[in-house]
Amino acid sequence: MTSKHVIAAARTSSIKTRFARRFLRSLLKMKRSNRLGTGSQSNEEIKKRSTHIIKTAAYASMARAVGPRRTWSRSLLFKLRNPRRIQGVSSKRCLVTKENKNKRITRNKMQIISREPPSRADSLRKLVPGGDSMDICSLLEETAHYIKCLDTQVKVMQSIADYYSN
Amino acid sequence: MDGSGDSNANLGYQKRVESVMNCPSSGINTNPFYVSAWDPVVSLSQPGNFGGSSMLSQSEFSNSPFPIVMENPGISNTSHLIRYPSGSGFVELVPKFPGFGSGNFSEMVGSLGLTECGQIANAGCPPNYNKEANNERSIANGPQHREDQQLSEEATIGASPNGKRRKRVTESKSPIDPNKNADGEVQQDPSGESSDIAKELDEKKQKTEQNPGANLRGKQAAKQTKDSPQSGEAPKENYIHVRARRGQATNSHSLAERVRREKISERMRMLQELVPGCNKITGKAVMLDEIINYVQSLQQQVEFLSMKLATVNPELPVDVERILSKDVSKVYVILHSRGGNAAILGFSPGINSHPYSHGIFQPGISVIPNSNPQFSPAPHVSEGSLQMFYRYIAHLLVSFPPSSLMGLLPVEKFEQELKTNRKSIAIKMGGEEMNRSKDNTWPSPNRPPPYQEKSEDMKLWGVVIFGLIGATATTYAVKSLDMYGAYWSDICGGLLTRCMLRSKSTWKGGTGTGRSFRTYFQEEAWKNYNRRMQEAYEEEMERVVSFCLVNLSF
Repeated sequence: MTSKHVIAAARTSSIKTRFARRFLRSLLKMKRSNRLGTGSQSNEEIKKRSTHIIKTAAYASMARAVGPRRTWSRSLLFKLRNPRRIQGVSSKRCLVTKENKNKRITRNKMQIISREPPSRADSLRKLVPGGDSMDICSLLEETAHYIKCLDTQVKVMQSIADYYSN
Repeated sequence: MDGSGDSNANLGYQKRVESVMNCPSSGINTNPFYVSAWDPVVSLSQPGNFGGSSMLSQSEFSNSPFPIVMENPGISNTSHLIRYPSGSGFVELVPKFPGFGSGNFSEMVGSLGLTECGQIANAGCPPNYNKEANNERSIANGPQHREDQQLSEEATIGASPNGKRRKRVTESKSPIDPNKNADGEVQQDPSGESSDIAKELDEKKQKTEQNPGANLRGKQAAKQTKDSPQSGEAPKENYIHVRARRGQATNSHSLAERVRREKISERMRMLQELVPGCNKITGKAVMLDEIINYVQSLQQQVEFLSMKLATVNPELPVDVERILSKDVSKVYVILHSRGGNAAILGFSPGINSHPYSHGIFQPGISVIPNSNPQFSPAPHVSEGSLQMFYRYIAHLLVSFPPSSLMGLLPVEKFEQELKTNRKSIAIKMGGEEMNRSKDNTWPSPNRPPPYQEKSEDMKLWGVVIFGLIGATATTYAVKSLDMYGAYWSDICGGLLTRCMLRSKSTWKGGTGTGRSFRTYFQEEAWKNYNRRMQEAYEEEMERVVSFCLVNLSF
């Protein structure tokens, strides 16, 4: 495990630095904007909102660091660019290539009546962004890359938190 | 065309003929190309039909080995088919094609595009062609594949000359397959008869492969056996050529299915390496569960860290390199390069069953020195990690002798690396955020008692349980879970006192029985150490209890 982790670290070091830079930049931006325009809300709300913003910023910067090479990053970027009101359209697009027994699920996600209990593959699809439109094979591949990037993300955020709290 | 049509009809190839008629391309040689040995060869002779240089090369190639076929495709087809049951000639023809097909066939198939000209299921078609074309088809053309298969099934049924029916080749499917069976399911539908014939062919082919020096097509035999070692899974231009191994079903569907399954298992293996602690897991279902859990835990960690970062104020000079190099590598080093000294972290065996322990403890490690009073816990985030922490601790208690836990304590090097007692304690206790504010005065347990641990079990358990109880109580105190606070404070108090009493007695008893291997000095040092530990625990207990009471008052 050690050697593999080393190799993984070496390979994703570029992803790591890219992600770190973007994330730090977005953090700074957020902090600056926060300082300017607060005071009206309670502390809790502020915290929740900033948490959400930071989380979004983390995912966004990770997606951009990875680039559009991966399905999950593409889907993340798409979701970020288009606000939620177009969610119906995007999910329609996603179901086009599904071939398995969920075919009887109608194309419009709003009218889905799934006939069988959500399988493990389905729950994995929900977790990985953009997982709806992939078959199991590519889903597993995307999951592997996604796990690697999530790992990097956690480590970088960890070290940032460490650095700034000392 | 009519002649061939008649003879074909005899063998039930009416459909093929019709499809030939329907095919927009011209002439005899637009024999609907399926997977047969000769049909594609025949159709290749019309490069105009299927443009592409590959076709030309193919036709060239095909011309030499199959002169008979080229001249009179219809008759040759039927003749081959007629010969099929007695099949030596045909059979010898069979193994040629895989080699022949491995390189160029893919291009041929691809460029032919499996158009609406239709597909013929040729009874005599060599199984390799079946699987190759079907593989490619399954990979390339989804919807066309199905109707092809239907045609092929009907044709093969008709074409089976003796009406032989073998046992159906049933694939054993893994339990996950019904869920994951994207294209395999489609392929399974027209399985039946083609598999019988393919099986028969395969047996014969295996025999002939053992006798490569077949006479019927001497030239081609030599040529093909040279090419046959090319078989295997060499992906070329998105097509993967698979040869059925001995004893395996050679049904085209099953082969494609096998390819798919191997791909999936390969990806699962990759994932197994990524997710920590999954080395012993065999089985896709359990593995998938672990993967899902791991992804969820990672996402939870991101959320938790973002919450933590919300309170952080980054200064302007942002030194990315320093940030990245400083702590991450440290944590890395600590957690991952300590494989030799497994007892130190107690993690590596623990990791096997608690794969997320290292991930969880990372936040713990950094969180410890950050006694940030503003930390407001988000219950849902902490809950999950707390549960996992408890799982880890439970596992530790169950599976480790406390002596190995004692190994957690002693490492001076470890202490140096982390530079704070709190961090080391965090690692020992499995560092949760609860330890942050409460372990300020914890004396360093890293003073290695240089004693053999064989007799220390009771004391060690006492120590461990002290820490656990204290940590637990602290967690609940911090999280302001009122009802739990009361409960746990009671338990803490009781357990702590009990442990202290017990440890006191054992320590006294230990020294009283006069262990000869200990020097007096060592005993004194140990007594002092224990006394310090006791005091620390008492202090913490008091603090915890008071904290709980304070919280309970709300």
